[in-house]
Amino acid sequence: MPQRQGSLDQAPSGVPLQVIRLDQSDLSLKLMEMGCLPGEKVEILHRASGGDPLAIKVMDYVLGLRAREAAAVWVSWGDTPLRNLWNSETP
Amino acid sequence: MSLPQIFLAGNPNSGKSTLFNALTGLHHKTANFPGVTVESLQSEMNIPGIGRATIVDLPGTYSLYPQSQDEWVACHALVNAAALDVPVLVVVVVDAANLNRSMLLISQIQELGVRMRVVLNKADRVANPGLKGVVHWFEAEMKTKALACDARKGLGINELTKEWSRVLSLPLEEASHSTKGAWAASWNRVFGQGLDVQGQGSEEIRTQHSSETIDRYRRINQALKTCPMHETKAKAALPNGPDRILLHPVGGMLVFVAVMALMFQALFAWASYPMDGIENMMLWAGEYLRQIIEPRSQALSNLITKGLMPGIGGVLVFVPQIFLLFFFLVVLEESGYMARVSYLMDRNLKKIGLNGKSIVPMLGGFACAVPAIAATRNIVSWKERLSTIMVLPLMSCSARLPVYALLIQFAVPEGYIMGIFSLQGLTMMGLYLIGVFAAVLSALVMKFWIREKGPSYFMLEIPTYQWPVSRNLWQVPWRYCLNFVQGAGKVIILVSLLLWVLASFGPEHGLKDTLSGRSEAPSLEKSYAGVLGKALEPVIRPLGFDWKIGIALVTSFAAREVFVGTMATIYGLEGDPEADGNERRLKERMQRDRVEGSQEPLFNRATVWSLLVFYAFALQCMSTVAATRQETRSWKWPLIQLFYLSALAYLASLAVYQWSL
Repeated sequence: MPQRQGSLDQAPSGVPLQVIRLDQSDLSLKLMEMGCLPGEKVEILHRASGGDPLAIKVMDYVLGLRAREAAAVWVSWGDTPLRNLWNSETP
Repeated sequence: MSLPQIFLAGNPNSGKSTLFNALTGLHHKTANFPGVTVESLQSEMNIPGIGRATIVDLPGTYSLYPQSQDEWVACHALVNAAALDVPVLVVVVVDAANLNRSMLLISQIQELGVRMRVVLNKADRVANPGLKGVVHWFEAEMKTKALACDARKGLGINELTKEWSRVLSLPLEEASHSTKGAWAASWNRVFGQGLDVQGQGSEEIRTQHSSETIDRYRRINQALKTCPMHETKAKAALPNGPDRILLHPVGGMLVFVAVMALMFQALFAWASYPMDGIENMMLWAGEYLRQIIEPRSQALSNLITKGLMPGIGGVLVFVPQIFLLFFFLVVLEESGYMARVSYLMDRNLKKIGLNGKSIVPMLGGFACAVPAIAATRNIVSWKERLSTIMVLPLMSCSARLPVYALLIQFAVPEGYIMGIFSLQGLTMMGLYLIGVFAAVLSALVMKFWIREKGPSYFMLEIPTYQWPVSRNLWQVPWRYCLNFVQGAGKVIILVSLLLWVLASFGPEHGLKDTLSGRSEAPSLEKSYAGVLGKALEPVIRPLGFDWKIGIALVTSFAAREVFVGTMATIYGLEGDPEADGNERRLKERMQRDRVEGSQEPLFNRATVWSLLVFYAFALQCMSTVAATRQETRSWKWPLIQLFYLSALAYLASLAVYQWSL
């Protein structure tokens, strides 16, 4: 799979994703507090009906958030080597 | 305030409250609400070598930049802790299996210039050698001491208090990392006056906080490189596999409905045994007291056995149901299921102007609206929070249970469908559903009517499943029942006594005459209470209520549960003293009553349904009015709430009665 990027609400489920950046908004501080930081690995675990809200795995826990909030998170996925910038763990 | 203060801070779901309960047992000052630390809960505890200390359980927060009311409460206490003139220790409780995310709060608190210690909680969920490495890392890298504990099992608690005792006796300079007060001052400039309803202040401040947070995370992650965190990989207590069904759009909803059905079925079926027991016990005690007191003073005996005892009985009899209800709520909250329900319901609740987080207060509303109104504080959007508060009293609270339980017997026969579902239990569930339905419609009206702006979002940690702590399963319901009996009990006893006085004397039967035996006690109709009920009758006649029910409506205005006590007092006064024990039961006595001038039972189906609907909708609770006043900081909202719920109750009752005649 070639490398792709897009907003988190549009990303595929069950695939390792990596956060690239956050759109600056009133949500970004809260998103960061909850672990959605540039460089972090995330994965979409569940989507409710209509894709909203969604449950993602981030920083080893499960976070539920609305699609509108996920839209502020830009992620990449595909065959680029995923490396967590900060965690000691590599996939 | 002269005692040393210990503040428990930490992320939501870090097990902070479990640690607090393990440290303090049953002795709390404020009532807690299942799972949610609403107020800052306080207690006193013994610290070896220090003596008594106040311990405060702060609401959970992820950082010191608050975005909701409950986060603000926690942050405000922490930031101003250094300014207190008693020794203060901040204990940051951390989920050992989720260290990464807690570091933000730890590093911010380190800059507050207070004594701080870290607790690595849920130690049972991580591998032990890894934990030792993390403790060492905290000492070397973060220059702070971390201690592991398992609050659920109560392991490691002694070591914690020993260390806290040591830290509290050290001079501040040795015990804290910085004594800089600048941070606190700037925090107070931005947040000190509380959160404005718009959220988090200006764009400029938000940007500043964002970049500060990124910077801080960069430093944290640099430091975390040497932390043997990966060796503490969580051994999940229960697998998250069930989420495939429980978080499924359709399956999850079905499970939720089934769980609710089970809860109400149990509430009706299981609680009836202890309730019968309590009722019989009160009858026996009343009779016993009557035999002792009556030979000495007829008036005193009447006051106690006909005024006081029915009132107390009315309170005690529904303690088992309240206990069970809170028990269920604790199980739902502690197991991690409640967060999943929030997630599942967010989409639908958003459509009616509420938030997924509204589900916790709304389910809590089934227990009691008062703590539930305070539990809305973690809803970020002021509009969503206000709507939740406004519709909350429509969730049938435990105070309605005895009213429903008493009245349903007149409207629905005993019996079972398919051998397992009791008809009366299903009716009870139906009444709860009517309330929920009215809440949904009211929320929709509020959505278009309330003009408040502000950000709305839903970000919620979905915790790992875990078995509820057995201690909390009985402690939390028990504490609440105790609170209920003491708080509501006072009101009910007072109202019962007042009612007894009003019902025993009348305009033509003076107090002195009756007490001295010169005059017979008046019939209920001629008493002050009767006169009052008669005056109200024209207004409530169209709903099918007579003057006796009118008396009960007046007395239960302060608190709905008084209805049952009032009925007990009214029918106790009128009761046939020669009746045998069984006949003395309230139900039989009410059944025998007839509509004046006819053979129609007073509690016929139309009247009872009308009464049930009235109690489902009406806001007959002073405490709720007070709670709404406190949370909205105005009289406007509680008055609107009172008015719209009263109108709704009256019109719905009118419709039901006229239709079922």
